[in-house]
Amino acid sequence: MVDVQFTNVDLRECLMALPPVDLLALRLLSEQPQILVSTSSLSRAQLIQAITEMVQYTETSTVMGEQIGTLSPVPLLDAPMLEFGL
Amino acid sequence: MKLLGQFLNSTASALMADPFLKLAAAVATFDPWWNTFEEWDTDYDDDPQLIALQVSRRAFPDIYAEAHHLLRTGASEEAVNRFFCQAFTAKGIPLQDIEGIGFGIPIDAYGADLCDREFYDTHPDLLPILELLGLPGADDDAYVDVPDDVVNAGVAIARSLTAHPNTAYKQVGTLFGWLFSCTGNSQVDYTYENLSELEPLSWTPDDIAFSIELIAEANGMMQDVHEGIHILTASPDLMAVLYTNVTTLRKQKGCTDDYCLQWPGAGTSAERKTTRNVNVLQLWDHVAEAA
Repeated sequence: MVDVQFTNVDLRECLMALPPVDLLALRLLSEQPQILVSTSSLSRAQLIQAITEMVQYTETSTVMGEQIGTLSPVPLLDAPMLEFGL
Repeated sequence: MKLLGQFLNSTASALMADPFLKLAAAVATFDPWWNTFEEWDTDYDDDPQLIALQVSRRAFPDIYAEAHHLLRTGASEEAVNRFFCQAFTAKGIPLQDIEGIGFGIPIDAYGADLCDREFYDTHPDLLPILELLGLPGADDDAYVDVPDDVVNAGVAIARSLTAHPNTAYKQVGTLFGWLFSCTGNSQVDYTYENLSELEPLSWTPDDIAFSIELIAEANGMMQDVHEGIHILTASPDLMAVLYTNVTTLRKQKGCTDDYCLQWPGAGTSAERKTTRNVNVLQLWDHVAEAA
C-alpha cells in the first residue's frame, strides 16, 4: 500500500504559496490605482502592452480551466485519504 | 463629490489589498470582454463591432488592444469601426465596411467570365488579346459562346507559360490562367456568382490564416495579370507568336503537350535577332540570362 500523506489542505497551501503572476496590468494598478476609473494616465504603448499581456493570461487561464475540467479521473485504490476515512 | 472620491479611494484600496480582487480588477480593466466570447463560433446577429472585438481578441491581440484603447478614450463608434477596417486590411484581410464582418471573412472575386458580354465591355484593354482567340464571336450577344477548343487552348497556354522560367512569360501565363479560370486560386478563378455559392470562410484561426495566404497570392497574381496585359499589348511580335500557338492548339483540338507550343527564346539565335520589339527583346534577353 502506498502511504500518501499529501492532503487536499496541503495541495491548497502549495497552490497558495505560488508566487503571484507578474502582469504589467497588476503593476500598473499597484502604482496607479486610479486607472480603475480611467486609464487616461497611461501611455498608449503601456496600455496596449498591458492589454495584450492580459488577453494572453486570460486565454491561458481559460484553456487551463477547460483542460482541468475534462481531466479523466485517476483511481487511487491504494492511497489512504485521511479526510474521507471511515 | 468629496464623499464619492473617498468612496472610490477606499474601494480601490480594498481591491488592491486582496490579490484575487486585484487580479479581478485588472482583468475587468484591461480585458473586459474576457468571458464574452466562449467559443470561436461567431453569432452573426451580433453587433458588427462586437464581432470585430471577438475576432481581433483571438486573432489579432494588437488590434484588440488598440480598439480597447480607442473605446476607453471615448472614440466615436465610427472612429472605432474605421480603425477596425484599416487594421484588418493592414493584416491582409481587406475590410471595406465593418457591417460585412458578420458574413464571414470578406473575399473579393476577381474571376473572369468570358461568357458574359459585359466582361468584354468592361475590359477594353483585353480585346486585342481576346480577338486572337476569336472572342467574342460575331454572332454573340449578351451571352458569348466560348468554344471548347478555345478553352483548351487557353488552359494549355496558361500551363505552358506559368511553368516558363522567364518572369514576363510567367506573367502572360497568369493572365491566361485568370482568363480561363485555371490558376488554382479560387479568388482569382471565381466570379462573384461562383463565390457566393460557397460557404463563406469563418473567423477561425485556420480560416484566417488561409484567407491571408489566399488574398496575398491572389493580389500577386492579379498584379501579374496586369503586367501580362501590358507585355502582350506592347509586343506585336509576341502577339503574333501567341496567335500561332493558339491556332496550332485549336487545330490539334487542344493539345496540352508543351512540344506543340513554341515561344520566342526557345528558338534559334537567328530568330532572336529578327525581332525589333523592345519588350520582346527584353523578354529574350531574360531567357538568355536564365540560360
